[in-house]
Amino acid sequence: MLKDLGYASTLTAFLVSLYSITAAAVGKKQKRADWIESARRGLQLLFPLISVAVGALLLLILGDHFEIAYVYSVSSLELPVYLKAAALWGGQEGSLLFWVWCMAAFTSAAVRRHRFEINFQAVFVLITASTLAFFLLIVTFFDNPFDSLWQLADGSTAAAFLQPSFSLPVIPANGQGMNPLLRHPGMIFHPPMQYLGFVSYVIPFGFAMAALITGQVDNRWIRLSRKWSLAAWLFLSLGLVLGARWAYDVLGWGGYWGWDPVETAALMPWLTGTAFLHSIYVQEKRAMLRRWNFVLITLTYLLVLFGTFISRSGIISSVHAFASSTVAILFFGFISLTAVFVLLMLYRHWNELSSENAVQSLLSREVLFLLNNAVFTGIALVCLWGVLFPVISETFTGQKVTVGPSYYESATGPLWVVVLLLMGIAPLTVFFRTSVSRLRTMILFPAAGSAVVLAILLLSGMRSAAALIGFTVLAFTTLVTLAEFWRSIHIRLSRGETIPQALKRTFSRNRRRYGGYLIHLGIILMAVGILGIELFQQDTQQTLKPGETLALGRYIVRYDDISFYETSGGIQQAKAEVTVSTNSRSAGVYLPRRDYYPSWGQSVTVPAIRSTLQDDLYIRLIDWGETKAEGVTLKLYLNPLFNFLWLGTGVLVLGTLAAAGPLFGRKEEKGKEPHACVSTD
Amino acid sequence: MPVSRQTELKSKLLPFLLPPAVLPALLLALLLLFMAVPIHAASAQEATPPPDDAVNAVAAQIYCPVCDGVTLDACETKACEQWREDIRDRLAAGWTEEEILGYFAEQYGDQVLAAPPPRGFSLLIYIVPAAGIVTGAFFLTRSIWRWRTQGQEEARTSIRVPNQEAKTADGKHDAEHTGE
Repeated sequence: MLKDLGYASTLTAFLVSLYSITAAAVGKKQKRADWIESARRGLQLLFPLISVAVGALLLLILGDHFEIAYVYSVSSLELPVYLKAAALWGGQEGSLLFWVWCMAAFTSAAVRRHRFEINFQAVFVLITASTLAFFLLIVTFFDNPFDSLWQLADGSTAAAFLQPSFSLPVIPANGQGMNPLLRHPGMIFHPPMQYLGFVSYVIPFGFAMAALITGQVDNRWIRLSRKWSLAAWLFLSLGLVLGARWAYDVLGWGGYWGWDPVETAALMPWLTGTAFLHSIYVQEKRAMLRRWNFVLITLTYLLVLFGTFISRSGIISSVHAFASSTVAILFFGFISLTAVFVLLMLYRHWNELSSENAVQSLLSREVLFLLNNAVFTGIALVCLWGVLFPVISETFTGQKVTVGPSYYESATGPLWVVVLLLMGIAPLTVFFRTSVSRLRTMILFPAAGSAVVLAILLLSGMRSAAALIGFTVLAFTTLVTLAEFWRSIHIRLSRGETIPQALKRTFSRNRRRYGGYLIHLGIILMAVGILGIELFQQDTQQTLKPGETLALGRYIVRYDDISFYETSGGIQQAKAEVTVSTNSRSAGVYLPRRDYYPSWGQSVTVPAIRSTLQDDLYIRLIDWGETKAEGVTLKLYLNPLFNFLWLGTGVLVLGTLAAAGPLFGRKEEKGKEPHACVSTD
Repeated sequence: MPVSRQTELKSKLLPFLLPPAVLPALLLALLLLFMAVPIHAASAQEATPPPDDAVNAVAAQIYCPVCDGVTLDACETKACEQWREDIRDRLAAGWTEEEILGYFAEQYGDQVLAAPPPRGFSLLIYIVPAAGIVTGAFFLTRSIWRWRTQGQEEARTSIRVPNQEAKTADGKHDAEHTGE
């Protein structure tokens, strides 16, 4: 029985995680290396154990075992196989199991990859096994994906693992199917990326705690954490962008980001994680910010837990809150406990963490990195306040309120400008002290270039202050970054290297720096897309009879026809046919659609999008009559420059790979692999 | 003479010195005129109801009272369709945007507004970030300043810094970053 196998392995995994915690604690206390080693092996065992459970659940879903409550609630016969597979994380119980599986994979990889000093290992295992145990506790006893459906004596239906007395098993012929909003290819990629991003932060957090508690507070934990936090950051970035794409394609409001609490909660660890990537660099180069790095990684980890809590508990309702369960209190307890624990540890070891160096000049890279950290953390806290305020307000005054985009945009907007500006200034500075004359020569060209951009924008009639500031700052930052590349390539070319050689060696000589700059270029492109849609989006809506047109920007949309279908899965589709033209030249036929899911009583808009680098025309079918002649109501959105967001994401991924791995450079030298913390005791 | 002069003056001012009965009549006429304007305007609008774009402009500022996190212009439920029609009717009747927003807030609670109205407890949503940013900036500036003072003292006793400065100032920009 798959159900029993799945549950048995989850339960075993939970018990093993408890064993690992105990063995690590005992081993550390009694200085018994064999116990600590045993704890590590226990931790490694979790991944195969949870894999069995995940495999069992997947087979149950693919095999249409609707007697399992979870399968019944997220899948149905007519779902395509790829969505059935994605149903693994389509609901509360399955997604928690998937979450814990990803985390087990990461922790197991971490203890396999690195050889730790034994005390360090004990604490690392203790911290990661505790987190895993917490999630396994929830999956095993509260949100069990292997519960079956039973008909109780009073006729009601309940989900339980074991058969309640006087009950009969219920075997539905078909499941409820997946929430229509989730039936999208994005469902395959967005949640796993988001979860991977979330869970991988447990590794640097584990390193930080191990370093703090064992007193190994030098730079070793930072070096260990670097690649893990870069990977976490990449996954989180991809999770956010894929989520934005999904919202754009599925939610049908012509936008990609609504400052919904769940979105905002996913953004917060990204913000502090970004700050962390910069601040560990300062610690490595200047032995500064040692306390701050502990605080920052803890904050990131707590925000990860908070983000999971928000999206899984339904405490703050949002479009994502298809989940509502009893785990809220447990989560709240775990987050508080972790926070108190870290605070205690920091308090105990605070004096060991004094920085070795101080700032020598305000015009130094460390000061700018510090500002970057302050601004990123500031944005994260502003977001946290926006997410928490409705809960606080309801608790204290009973008044429910909504904190929408206007709050976030006005509160974080200026801070984003500062971030972009810092991104432009920091590369011009060096550590310790930047000479003013050097800065002056380096800033001249980018400053002049961005002034030209500003002049062109003004001459072209742009009067929006936000756009003028935004694009000028972006131009400045772009020029500074490109100049950095140019300087390195130029020197190499003058030494007689070919262009590909120069490019390759630029990255391989210092992949962290130039990878970072490539990420910056990606962020700049993304910012262009965001400014485009945020500041210049236009929309219009009208009811059209056949042959009538609706104009928006450079586009003219003509309504031609409408047709109605019913799919084999019982989905009722209304599909309009419109012809789009620009400058009296046809740009093709588009088919905006509305799908109605009778069993869910829910309809989903499937917009038709004409995508170019210049802009996106987003066509949404709002309403229609029973016949073609009665006409349709269309809503059009024009999203200028929006594709730069996706383009920038591609550059960002390349940059991260360049910064992290040997994609552009030589393989990592064996001696350089930071097997930190080896045998210091 | 004074009498005739008085009458002369009166005749000159006649247009301004109206008999007592005329004034209320004029006022009434004015009042009617003002009342007639909105009635006229409203009836003119009834003939062509406000376009969808006008309705959406208001609806975009109101969150759906039944489905969380979705604005009324984008919401696809039947209820929201009716609310949009409600907005259209009110616009047609000459309501302003603020009046309609106020009406919805009164009917369904402040949570239908995109941001809490800045009064009472809700003022905190605006005050706290502003105060936080100002306080944060203050402490950051102060601690950087202190660090610098401390650092400058250290620099005086260190020979490392001039070297570093020389290294980076003479064009070897890559020098500081060589190591991974």
